Amino acid sequence: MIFGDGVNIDFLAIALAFAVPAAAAAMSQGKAISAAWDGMARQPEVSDSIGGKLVIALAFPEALGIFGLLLAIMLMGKLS
Amino acid sequence: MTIFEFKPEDQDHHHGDEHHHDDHHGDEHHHDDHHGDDHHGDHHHSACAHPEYELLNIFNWKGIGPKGGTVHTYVEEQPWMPAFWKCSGPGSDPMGEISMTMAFNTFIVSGILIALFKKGTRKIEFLPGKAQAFAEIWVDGLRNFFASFGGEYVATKYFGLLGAYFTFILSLNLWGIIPGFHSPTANINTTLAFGVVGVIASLVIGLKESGLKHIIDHWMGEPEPGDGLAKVIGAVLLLPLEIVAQFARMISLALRLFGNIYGGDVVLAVFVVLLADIAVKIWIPLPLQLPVLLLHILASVIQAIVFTALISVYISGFCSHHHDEEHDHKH
Repeated sequence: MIFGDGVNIDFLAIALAFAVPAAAAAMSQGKAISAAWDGMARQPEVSDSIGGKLVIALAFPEALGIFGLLLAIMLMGKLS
Repeated sequence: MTIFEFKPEDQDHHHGDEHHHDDHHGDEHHHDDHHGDDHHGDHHHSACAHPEYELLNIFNWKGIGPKGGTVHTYVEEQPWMPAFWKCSGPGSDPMGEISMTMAFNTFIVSGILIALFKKGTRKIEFLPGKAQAFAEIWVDGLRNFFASFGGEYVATKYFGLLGAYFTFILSLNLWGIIPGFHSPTANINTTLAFGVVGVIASLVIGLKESGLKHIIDHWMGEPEPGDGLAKVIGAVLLLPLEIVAQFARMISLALRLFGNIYGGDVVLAVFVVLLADIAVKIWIPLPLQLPVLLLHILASVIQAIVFTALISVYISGFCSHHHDEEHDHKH
């Protein structure tokens, strides 16, 4: 689909396929990090244990953002 | 014959010449089909009229080498390159079939690792040499590290699996930073193999540790012995979900690692080409991709940690009678 003088709206799909999962992943990771650091500030003696668990917990939203990136790259190979 | 000679005006000349245009893009069926259906004969508004978009698509970068082909054709034309190098590079399909390059790089890395740790452990001495000291520090540090994820029991008993996974994945991720080599983990085949083997290993360990009956009971939500309704609900609703979750674990492990390493490679390549484009114009090469490279190294380490930590969490979820406090980690 073409808008006006050669603006291809297909590329909007690529941009959204990356941007929407990235925004959602960033928001959820921010929540997890803020909660974990709150806990660490309250109890510094367990910060090692919390940090290790935080890395695992961050992997799940991260994966969704990465899926979006993969989808964007694949769409880019198909469209352009 | 600069490598990154990208000429937007070259493509504009093809608009009036439809035959030439089709030759130029003869191999891109998706492109031709898509635009042929919607805007037949309206080549001025096709994606080719906007080369700034094409610049971002590393599969179609043209003007590389003296013949002006893509990255892929340039690599294929090199007579001095051995065959196992040729079917890879940024132009190849990372989600396609297994390439010889990937297998070759994997074997080099595993050979180096085997030689290194063989040297460190062949003759154990009370006062360690360099190789033995490295092996001791590496193994002890990793064991303590995994103990914080999956518990002391799992980290000690199954250190063979976890330590080998971490060392191998980390080496494969960082291998692509050396010029001339490619990360085998930037190919879906490698990471899918890792994911499948890791999840199946965790299932086998779970069978050995707690037995099939305990695993099924755990997957059914651990109903009370006399509660028939809870058993039916667990068998009908929860059990299929947990079985599907095992496959989801394999795929998500594989795609997470693959996406991070491949995405990092693509971002690096895009940065290098864009900056080369700038460098040609202003005659000053700027290594501005360095921060991206540092970020890629960080992501490589973190992904190796995450992959191994998730497998150790899966294992400790099956060994729950040793570690009741690790229950809340289940995926």
